[in-house]
Amino acid sequence: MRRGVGVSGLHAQQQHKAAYEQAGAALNAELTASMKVQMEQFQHNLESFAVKHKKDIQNNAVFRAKFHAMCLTVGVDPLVSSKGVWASTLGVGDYYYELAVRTAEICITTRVLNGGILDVEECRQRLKRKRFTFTEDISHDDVLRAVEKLKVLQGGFRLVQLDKKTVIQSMPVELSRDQVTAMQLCEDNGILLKSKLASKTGWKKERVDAAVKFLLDYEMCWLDLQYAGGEPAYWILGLVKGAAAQDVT
Amino acid sequence: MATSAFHFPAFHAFPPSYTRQPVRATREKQVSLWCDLMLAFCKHRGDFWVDMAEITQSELFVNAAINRRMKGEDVVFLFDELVNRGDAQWDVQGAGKTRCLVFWRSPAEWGDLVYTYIDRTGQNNSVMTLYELRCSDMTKGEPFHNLDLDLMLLALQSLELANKAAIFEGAKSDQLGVKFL
Repeated sequence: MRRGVGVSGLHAQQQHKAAYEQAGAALNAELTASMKVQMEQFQHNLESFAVKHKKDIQNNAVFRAKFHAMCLTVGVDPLVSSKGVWASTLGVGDYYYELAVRTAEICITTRVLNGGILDVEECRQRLKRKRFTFTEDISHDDVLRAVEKLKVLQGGFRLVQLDKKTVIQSMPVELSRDQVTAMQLCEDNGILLKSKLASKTGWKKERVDAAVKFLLDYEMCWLDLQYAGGEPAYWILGLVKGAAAQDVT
Repeated sequence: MATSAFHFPAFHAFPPSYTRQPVRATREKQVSLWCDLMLAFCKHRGDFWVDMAEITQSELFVNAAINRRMKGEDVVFLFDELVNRGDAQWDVQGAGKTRCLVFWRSPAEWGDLVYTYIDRTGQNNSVMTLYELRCSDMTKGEPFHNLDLDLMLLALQSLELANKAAIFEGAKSDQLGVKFL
C-alpha cells in the first residue's frame, strides 16, 4: 500500500480529518438528542410513577427512601423543588416542610431543659406521637432530611454525629472535639462521669473539667450529686433514653 | 380531701432534679419547675400550712423509685423561692423557717371567691363572724369552706383594701367579724 506522503498525501489526510470530525459531530448531536428524549421520557415516567405511588411515598418510609435514592441518581431533587410538579402533584416537598417545622418545634420546646441537644431517635419518637398530617411512619432518614432543611434557616440547627447516635443540635454553639468526645462516651445512657472520661481518653484533669464545664455552662447537662457510687454524675438530658423530663409540660 | 393519687410531672423522676444546679440559668428553670409542682402538690392535698420537716419526708421530695431525695436545706431554699415569687409566706411567729403558708390560690383570689358567694346569696351589708364564714353549714360546699384562718384573714384584708369589706375586732381572732359592702 502506498503511504500518503508528499503534498497530495497531506491534503488527503486533512480531508479525512475533516470528514471524521463531521461524522463525529453528527453522531454527538444524535446522541445528545436521543439522550434528551430519553431523559424527558424518564422524567415523565418518574412523574407519573410518583403520582401513581403518591400514597406510598407519603406513608411508607422505606418506599420513600428508595424513591429519593432513585431521584438522586438522575439528578432530580423532589425535596428542593418548592414549586412545579414535585411539590404540587406529589406533595413530597410539603411532607418535609411539615416534618421540618414539627422537628423545629420539638427541638425548641425541649431545649429549655436539654440545652439544645436531642437524640434523633428521641425526636422521631416525639414526632410519631405528634401524629402530623401525612403519616405516623417516620424514619430516621426522614428526620435527618428534615434537619438538613432547617439548616437553611440558619437558626443553628445542625446534626452532630456520635459513634452510634446522631443528635440534633438546635443552639448556635460550636462544639469542640473534646465536647463531642465526652458525649460519645456516654451516648448509651447520657450519664457522664469524669473518672470514665479521664480513663477512656487519658486526658489530664484540667481537660476533663473543661469539657464538662462547657456542657454544664451551656445547659446541655445537669449535675447529680446522689448518683450511685458517690461520684458526681452529669446527665446529658438529650441522650437519656426516653427522657420525658425534657417535656416541660 | 385528696383521695386520688397525685400525678407527678416527668422531671420528678429525673435524678438531677434533686441536686441544686450549679449553673444559674439551669437552676432558675429547676426552681421554676419545683415551685409549680409544690403549689400543685399542696393544692392536691388541700394544704395551707406546710411543715418543713413533714414535707421533706413526703413523696413530693422523696422519690424512692429512683433513690433520690431533696436535702432539707434545699427544701427550705425552694420554699424561700416560692415566697420570693409571692406564692407563699413564712410563719413569722414560728422559730425560723419551719412553717410556710402556701398560696396555691392567692389571698386576693380567695377574697374574690368569698365575695362572689356573698354577692350571690345577697348577704351584702350583713355582718358575719369569721367562724361562720369558714365553718358553718351555710358555706358548706363553697371552695373556701374550712379555709385556714390565717389565709381567710389575708383574703378579707385584700377585700378590705378594695373597699369590699370591713373587719371588726373580736376577743379572739376567730371571733373577728366582717361586714361585706
